[in-house]
Order: sequence, then C-alpha cells, then structure tokens
Amino acid sequence: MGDAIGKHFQPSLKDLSELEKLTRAYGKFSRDSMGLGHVLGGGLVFMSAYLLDHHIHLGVFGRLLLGLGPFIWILGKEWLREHYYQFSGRVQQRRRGWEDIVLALLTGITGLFSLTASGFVIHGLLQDFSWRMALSGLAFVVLLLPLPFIVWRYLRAPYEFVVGVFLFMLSAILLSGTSLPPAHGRAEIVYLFADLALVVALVMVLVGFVEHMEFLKLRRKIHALKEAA
Amino acid sequence: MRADLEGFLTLDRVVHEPARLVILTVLAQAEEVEFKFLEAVSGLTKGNLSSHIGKLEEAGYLVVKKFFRGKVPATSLKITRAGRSALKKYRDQLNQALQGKE
Repeated sequence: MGDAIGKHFQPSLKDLSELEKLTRAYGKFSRDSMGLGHVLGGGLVFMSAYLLDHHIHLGVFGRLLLGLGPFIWILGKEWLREHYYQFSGRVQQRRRGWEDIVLALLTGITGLFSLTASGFVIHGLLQDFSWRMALSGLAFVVLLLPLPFIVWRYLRAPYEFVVGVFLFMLSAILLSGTSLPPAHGRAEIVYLFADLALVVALVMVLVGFVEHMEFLKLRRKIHALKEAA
Repeated sequence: MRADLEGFLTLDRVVHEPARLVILTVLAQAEEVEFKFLEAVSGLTKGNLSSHIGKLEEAGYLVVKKFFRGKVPATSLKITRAGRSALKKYRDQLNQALQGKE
C-alpha cells in the first residue's frame, strides 16, 4: 500500500487488505492498546506496591498524592489516547458482542466488592469509633465506592481493568494508612497483594512499551500515505 | 462464460467505484471513523472524499455525524448494516467472477 488511493486509483486486493489491517491496528489505540498509558499505570502501581511492601511511612501530603494517583493515571491515559495515539482522527475499535457482557459482569463484581469492603469499614467504625480511624476509613470508602462507575466508563479494556483495579486498591490501602509493618497487625494478605502488584506492574510496563513501538511503526505508515497523496 | 460476465455486470456500481470501495473497506473495520483518518489513508482531497461520502450516504450505506469537539467541527462516519452487506456481497461476487475466470 505504498501509494495513496488518490494518486493510484485502482486499489488491489492486497491494498485493501493492508488498509483493513492498518485501520484495525490504529483503531485498537482507541480502546485495547494504551502504549504509554500502560507504562504510566504500571509505573504508578509499582511505586504504590513498593511503598506498601516496604511499609514506608507517608505524611499527609504523600498520602493525598497517592490518593490522586489513579485519577492522574486516568486523565493521563485519556489525554494520550485523544491527543497522541489518535493523532489522525478518531477511529473507534469495533466492539465484539461478548465484550459488553464481560464489562457488565466485571462492573457488577467490582460493585459487589467495593460495597462489601466499604460495608466492613463502616461497620468497624461503628463498633469502635475514633476520629483518626474515621478519617482513614473515609479515605478508603471514597476511593472504593466510585470504582464500579470508573470501571464502566474508563476501564473498558482488559489491561486497563487490571491496572485500574490494582491502582485503586493500592491507593485506598495506602491512603487509609494501612502501610504499617506486620508487627502492628497488618494482614499477611496485604503483603501478598503488594507482591502480586509488583509483578503486574512490570508486565504492564513491558506491554505498554511493546504497544508503543507498534504505534511508532503505524504512525510512520500513515505519514508515508499522507506524503504519497 | 456468460455466468462470469453476469457476475461482473451485476456488481453494485456504488461500491465498485475505487474511492467508495476504499471508504467502505475502512469503515467496515471500525465502529466509527473520523473524516480526517479517511482523508489521510485514502489520499483523496476533501472535496472528492465528501462527494463520494455523499453518494454512499444517499445509498444508505453509511451515516454521517457532524459535531463539535470544543470549538472545532468534526465529522464522523459509520457504516450501516446495508453498507456492510453490500460490501460483503460485492466481494463475494467479485471473488466468484474472478475464480470463474481462472
């Protein structure tokens, strides 16, 4: 597909098939592929998991910044998608029929989880109230309650879902001050979660990097087509 | 021989035109495509592209959505079910006719 159609006005079957591939590849960057968005998400997950794993003490400012982490990531990835990866006009990836069902299921499961976790926190507070615990609990609930909506609206692709859920969970734990060493009663499961998050973060950085390389190739192809016209 | 010729003669003229074939091929691979992308990959001029889009819209093969992104006007195109089946029929007919020729 070296020549653009405008000049070379008889597209062959090979041209058409390459055009199909190019459209699909470009369209993937409207949803499934995020390139640098995955790198950013993976980086934030890694940082949060590392802080949690090494029970590093965070001041109020540090906690607030971590609480904003997931939102910074969402804004960043959406900006990249809109202004960088869809540089030549928007092409919305085709939806497969089962995707809406999977998304509805994931939203439902996330909703159930966030309601249950928030319920436990509120119940615990009612049993043994203190202002310090109330503030921590509030931070936890504020981050977890909107999660189903965020999944439905912003975490529609599989990798996005994985990064987003890990990031929100880690931020909720860190923001609510659960970054205490095990001697202070921190559950072992939090350690395991942090270790798993470290692995997920590294995989996401790698996936994002590979996708970004694919994008650079795609961009060169589209520029070559424009120049040929 | 006559059957092969018939295959060619009954091809949908709206789809058969190369620029329109390219437009439909691109649209069939996505949910929605912006004009700007089509302009980049087809190499057609804005006027030429608009004229072919108009013909495809008239035939009911695509729908055009005009909107503003901030203050910038944008145009988005979506292939219809009729457009998708016309493209499929065209490809099947062409493949059959070409196979008959061999």
